[in-house]
This record gives sequence, structure tokens and C-alpha cells, in this order.
Amino acid sequence: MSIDVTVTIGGEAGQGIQTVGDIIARVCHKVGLYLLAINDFESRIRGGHSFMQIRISDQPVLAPYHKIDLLIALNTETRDLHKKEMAETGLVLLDAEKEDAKENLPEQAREKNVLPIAFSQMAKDAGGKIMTNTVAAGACLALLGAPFSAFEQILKTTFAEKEKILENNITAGRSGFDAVKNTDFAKAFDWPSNGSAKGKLLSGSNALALGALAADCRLAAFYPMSPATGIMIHLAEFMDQLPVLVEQAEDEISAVNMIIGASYAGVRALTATSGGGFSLMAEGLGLAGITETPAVIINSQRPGPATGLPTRTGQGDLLFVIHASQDEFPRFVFAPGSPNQAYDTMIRAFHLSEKYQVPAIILTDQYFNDSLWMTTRKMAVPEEIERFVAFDEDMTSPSDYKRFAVTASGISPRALPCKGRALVCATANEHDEAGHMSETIADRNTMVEKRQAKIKGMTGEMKGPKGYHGESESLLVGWGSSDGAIREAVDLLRFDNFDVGGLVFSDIWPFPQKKTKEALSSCKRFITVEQNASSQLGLLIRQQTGHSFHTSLLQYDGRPFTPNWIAEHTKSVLEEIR
Amino acid sequence: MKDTTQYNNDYENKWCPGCGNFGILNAIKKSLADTQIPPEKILMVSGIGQAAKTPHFLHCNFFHGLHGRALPVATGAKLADHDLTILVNMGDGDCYGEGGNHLLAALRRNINLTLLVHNNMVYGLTKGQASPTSRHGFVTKAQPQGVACQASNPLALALSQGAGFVARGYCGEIEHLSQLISAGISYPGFSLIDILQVCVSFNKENTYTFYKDRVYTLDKEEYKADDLHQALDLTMEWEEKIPIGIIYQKETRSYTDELAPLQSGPLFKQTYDPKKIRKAISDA
Ligand SMILES: Cc1ncc(C[n+]2csc(CCOP(=O)(O)OP(=O)(O)O)c2C)c(N)n1
Ligand code: SF4
Repeated sequence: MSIDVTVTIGGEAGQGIQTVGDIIARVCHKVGLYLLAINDFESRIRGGHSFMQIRISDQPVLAPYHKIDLLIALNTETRDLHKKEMAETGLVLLDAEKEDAKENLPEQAREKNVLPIAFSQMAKDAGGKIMTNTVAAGACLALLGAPFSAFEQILKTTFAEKEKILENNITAGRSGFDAVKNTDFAKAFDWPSNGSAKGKLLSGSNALALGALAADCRLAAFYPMSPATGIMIHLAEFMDQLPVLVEQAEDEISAVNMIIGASYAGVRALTATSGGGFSLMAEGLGLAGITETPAVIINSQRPGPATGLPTRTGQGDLLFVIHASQDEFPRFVFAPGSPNQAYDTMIRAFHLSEKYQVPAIILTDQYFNDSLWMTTRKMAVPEEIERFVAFDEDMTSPSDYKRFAVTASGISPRALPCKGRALVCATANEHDEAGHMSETIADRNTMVEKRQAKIKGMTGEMKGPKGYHGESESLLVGWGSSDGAIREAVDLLRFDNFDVGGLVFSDIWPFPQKKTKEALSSCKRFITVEQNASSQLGLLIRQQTGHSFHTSLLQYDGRPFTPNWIAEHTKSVLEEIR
Repeated sequence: MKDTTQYNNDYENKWCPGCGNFGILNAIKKSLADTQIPPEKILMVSGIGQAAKTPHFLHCNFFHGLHGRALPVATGAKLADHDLTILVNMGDGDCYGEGGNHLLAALRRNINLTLLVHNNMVYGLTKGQASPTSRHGFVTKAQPQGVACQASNPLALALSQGAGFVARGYCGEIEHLSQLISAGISYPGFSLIDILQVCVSFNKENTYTFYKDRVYTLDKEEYKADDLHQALDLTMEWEEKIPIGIIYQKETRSYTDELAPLQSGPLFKQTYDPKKIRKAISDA
């Protein structure tokens, strides 16, 4: 029998929800199970309701599930809030201390589904209430069928430094484990023995940071903003072993200008922010555009406008980033859909940004950044980094060097300041080939045309949307992090005999027009699936190809898609047509 | 005297005849000649405004960026390659207005940049609006009733933020100004040189005559520039007498010396090592 279990651990911020989740995830990962863990939290440090949901399977999992098999409720609020999502055979483990409202449960639920366990009391007995989360982890793992040794091993790495703390945690974990030993749990499975990890367990943020390292990013300047901060925190961990500097700027305006300065001076540089910070960076984006300076910018989307929902997810910035900053200039926009793709995209973004001397924007979102994913492929590090820079030796006459020399491809040889005799002059003003301000009609036209000329080559670099049963009658079309949910929805629909496939974009701008037309040529209709209110990708496809979407499935509540939601809504759309 | 002509270029200068910026430009050339930095070893970074056009009138590398944003660009370039000699040119509106937050950060960061603020107490390029250093009561087309804000005191601000090199120059004292710039270049941390600059077109108050009557040079023998309180007092002098010279200077260690990843040399020069990266990734 195949395994597909969803565990949700919920409580207040400050109760160590994430620690329980991480431990469970790591135990499962270690024995070779697949998993996906999403983080749902409010914008506060203590209190409120937060939860981590882990879907565990022996097959790769691509999206969160809509039903909960096992709910670990560290407070009664968690039980009440998630009641509706419980699977028919689901089980709630409720902290007995908090269990004042147990009596209010429907008769049947009280009997069958809710198991009060003295989590906090056991933690106190083991040495401190703080270990309530360890007790809960123990209970959860026992129900899933894990041997205690697997749990113990992870505890040992988690609390490696302090012997006493480790000892107490093992005691705490043991009591949770033993407390449920004889409980029947419908989704308990034969725990794989002697398995080995099926890939790395990484957050999306982490995958982006590792991709930046592999791309030889040397300077990362940022101003903290959820959900982008994690990327920079992960990068900062490498400052002691690699030539990478993470600099906290005074604001996003500074961050983007810093990376432009660093890139002009010759190193690869990155900044990461969310929509609000990206708004502040819009002018700097234009600066990179007119000075033709490579720059890589990650925009991890969260719902807005303005501050919006700081800790939630969305896909509302697509049209914004494509058009951000005044007038026109070429840029790349990518939206990776998996951690492996995010890693590869970082390497490509740095490469292409430098090759074409244009900014590259990577669109991710809170769901992608904050979830724990399993990478299914090895993350390859390039043997060499191809640098597109010219030194004196590459020039016939360095003293005649012109930074913006006109070429057919629009790409001028890029020299670096103070690295030879060639002088490198750049300005935010419109300019001549040498980089001096110029307002002549000839220079203006020449420079606009030179910059626009790059688009042809850039378009050639773009991958078309990835088809999944792409020959189907109806296609679900989306982009970025909804990749997995769309693919699983397609599986569900096909299982029910609907002729449905998926098409997911990871390369968005310059728009892969020809490849998109091809991908859409054989389907009867396509339905867009996006986390915004106007189907921004749908509008873009219509603008670029003339093809219109049949309808769109839009969700903008700030929570990630589940395959079930997409499948159910697709069914109603298709049944209407029939 | 060293040869300043090597910093000339034939790009047409469009400043108004008589503009104080010409004096500053000459002082920069003189200082560069004195410190013997060849054109290809200089990087000028500027914002937007009349002052910020200065790099175009010099033979050197330059990045003429956005209004108010020269300091972050210069900081990024310096972090990327701390061997670079970087001079930053900004106007008073550019630096103290639009770029105020960046100035605060740069002062605290103490990164080795030499900042020259062409302080004409008015917005030149946008034709005469008030700037942060315009006098209270200063009348312009945009402020016909007179400026209602207090004028900012950038030198006192810098001192209060812990700046290690704070100086004031005057566009009419070229030799003196060039020495200040040279001192700023050799200072290992962040140096702020606020330069009194005459704008003949839009500031009819702070004229050459105004400064001629007030400006005096701090005596290097008498004034030691190492006493913060005395320095703060000096920054308050304005109505009757205006001191120029190094107002304050203290020993310092550059920001780039503090950062661990830069200890094996400039980021730009360090080598790409796929083995190390592979290890870092597999350990992650
Ligand atoms: C973001 C932005 N806002 C406004 C402007 C318009 N602008 C150009 S220069 C300038 C002020 C210049 O004054 P100052 O910095 O004192 O320099 P000056 O021209 O007097 O040397 C302004 C407001 C701009 N270019 N960019
Ligand atoms: S407007 Fe003022 S600052 Fe600008 S060039 Fe003329 S005199 Fe100089």
C-alpha cells in the first residue's frame, strides 16, 4: 500500500511548532520517505495561531494535501480551527492540559477521533515545559510507526551541544512516544527500515541561496522583508568559508544600488526582497537597465498592496515586475517551480544577466520560500564561471574604449573600472557610446535601439512552458510555485477520466511567444490557475499570442493551492461545458 | 606643480559661467595630480544634479547614477573591490535631501570613500528651489513666503553620527580645497567634505562676497582637529565667521578591514573554487 499521510502541528507562535515539524520531517527524510512541509504563521512573534503541515509519502509529493490525518493540537484553538479539514479516519492529539473543551466535541468525535495526551505535563516531568514540542514529536512519530531509535538519532543532532538538554529531550520524547504506543491510527505504516534519504531536504529560500553560491554570487545586499529574508540568512552562513559578503543595507533603495555598484566594479551581486521592497527598487532597476549593468533581484511575493499579508503567499506581482520602472528596457523574469529549478534558475539568471548586461528578476513566493521541499536531483556546481568582461588585452586600443559601443546584438564589450587603461563611463542619463550624457536625437535613438536589440537573443534563451500531458483537450496553465499543485490536480482529474493536462511557465520574460503558441496549438481550451485576482499570466498570454483563456481559477486568500481545490474547480468548469 | 591636464577631457561643460563648481573641479584635478593617482585608477561616483555632473568633466572612470543614490553605488563598488579609490560627488539636495538616509548609513559604516558635497544651499539643476541647507526664510519661487524649516547642519550631523573625518572647503579657495580632498583620499575611513559652492544663477544670498566677508581658514598649528566638542562648536559658527579646514579627524579602521570575507583580499580578486562550493552545498 502506498503511503500518503498528512500531519499538522498547530499552536501559538512561540510554542516551538517549527521545531516539532522539523524533527518529524527530518526523521522521515532520513529513512527515505518523501515529504513537503508548509509553514503557516501570522505576522507576530508570540501568540496567535500557527501551524506546520507535513505531507509524507513513499512517492514524490508536489503540493500540500487538503485533508489532515493526524493533528497535533498544542492548544484547543488549533483543534477547533482545523476540525473541518480532518480526514474521515483522522486523529487529533490534544494537549490534555488545554483540553477544557473536550466535552463540547460531538459525541462521535470524542470517542473516536480525539485523544487527550498530557503533553505539557510530561514535558514538565522530563525537565521543563519548553519540551512540550519534543513530547508531541515523539507521539506523532510513534503513531506513524517510526522506531524510537530513528527519533533519537535526530534528537542527537538537534541538541548536539548540550548533554543535559539532550538527555531531557530524549526523556520527553520517550514519554510522548510511549503514551500512544497502543493507539490505533488508521494511517500508520510499515516504517521503512535501513532506507536512505532520497535527496536533500531544503527550504525554497535555501535552494535559492545555494543556487546563488553556485553562480559565484559575491555580494548580496538586502533590507529585511518577509518572506525574502531567509535567502540572505542562508547565504550569510557561508561568509566564513566562501568569498561571499552579505550586507544589510539601510533600505531597499540602497540594496539595489549597492548591487549595481558592485556589479559595475566586477563582481556578481544579488538582492532579495518582496513586493514592497521591489517597489522601492523600481528606480534602481531602471538604473541597471540604462547603464546596462548586470543585477539579479529576487522578488518573493506576498499578497499586497503595500504591506498586505506579510506572512502569506500570492502571485500578484507578475505584471508589475515585467513593467516596473519607467520607459522600456530589456530584462529577464523567471519563476521557478521547484527547489531544483530554483537552484538552476539562479545559475542561469546570473549567467544571462551578465551575458546580456540586463537585470534579471526571479519571482518566488512565501509558499515556495518557507516550505521544506525534497530535491530530487543533484545540485551541480559549474566547473567554471563564464565571465563576459573585456580587459585591455582584449582590445585593439584600450584608450579608445567605449562602454556603450554599438553592436548588432546590442551587447557592448563590458570593461571594468580601474582594471586597465580603458575608462569605463556609465550614466543614468541617456548617453553616447562613450557613456557621456547626450540629448541628441541620434544618440537617443541609437541607445534605445541598441538596448532593444538584445531582446532577440534573450528570447532565444527562454524555455517554453513545461507540458504535463500537454496534448490534452483542456490545459491548466500556471506559473512558478503552483507547478506541483497543478501537476497533482492533473493526476486527480485524469484518474477521473477528464482529458486534462498542465502547462507551467518558469521563463516568463522576454515572453517565449513561439514556444507558447506551439504548446497551446493542439488544446481545445486552456484554463489559467493563478494566485491573483485578474489572471495576470492569462492576460499576458492573450497579449503575446492572441490565445485567450477559457476561464481562470483564481485564489488570492494568501494560502497555497491544494491539488484537490484545483481539481474540483476544474471539474465544475468542464461539466458546465458538457 | 604636478600636471593636472591629464584629467582634462573634451566633453563640453554646460555649467553657468561663474559657477562655483568650476573651482571645485579644479581643486579635484589638483588633488588628483598631487596624490599622483592616474586617471585610470580613479572611480568617480555621483548622484544627479549640477554637482553630480562633475565626473563628466574629468578624464577618469565614473558612474553617474540616480538622484540621492551615489553613496550606495559607491559602497557596493568598494565592497566589491576595496582596492579602488572612490570619490563621490553630490549636491546638497542630492546628499542631504534625497539621499539623507544613505548619508546616515555611510557615516555609521565608515567605509573608505571620499564624499564631496557641493553645497550651494539651493537646487541648481531644477532651477532654484530650497535645499536642506537653505537658510530659514530663504525665498524661492517654490517657497515665496520664505523657507519655514530650519537649515540642516550637515557637519554637526556627521559628528554626532561618529564620523571620523569632517571638513569644510570653499570653492573660492582652490589650493586649500585640494589639500582637503587629498587628506580625505588618504584617510582610511569615510570622509565628508562639505564644500561651500556659489550658485550664481539661483542663490543671490550666499555669493562670493558673502563668503569673502566670512570665510577663514583654520590654522593647522593652532587648531588640532582632534577634540570633538571643539569641533561641534565650530560647526555652529556661521553668521559672522565661517571656518574652513579639517574640522575633526580621528584615528580609524576601515569598514572593509572589519569584514571577514574580505580578509583574503578584495572580493573581485578572490578565486572561484567549485570544490569549496560543492562542499558547502553538500553540507547544507
Ligand atoms: C528621484 C528624482 N527626483 C527628482 C529629480 C530631479 N532633480 C534633479 S537634480 C535635483 C536637485 C539638485 O539639487 P542639488 O542636489 O542641490 O544639486 P545642484 O544641482 O544644486 O548641484 C532634483 C530635485 C530626479 N532627477 N530624480
Ligand atoms: S545653476 Fe547654479 S549650480 Fe548650476 S551651473 Fe548654474 S551656477 Fe552652477
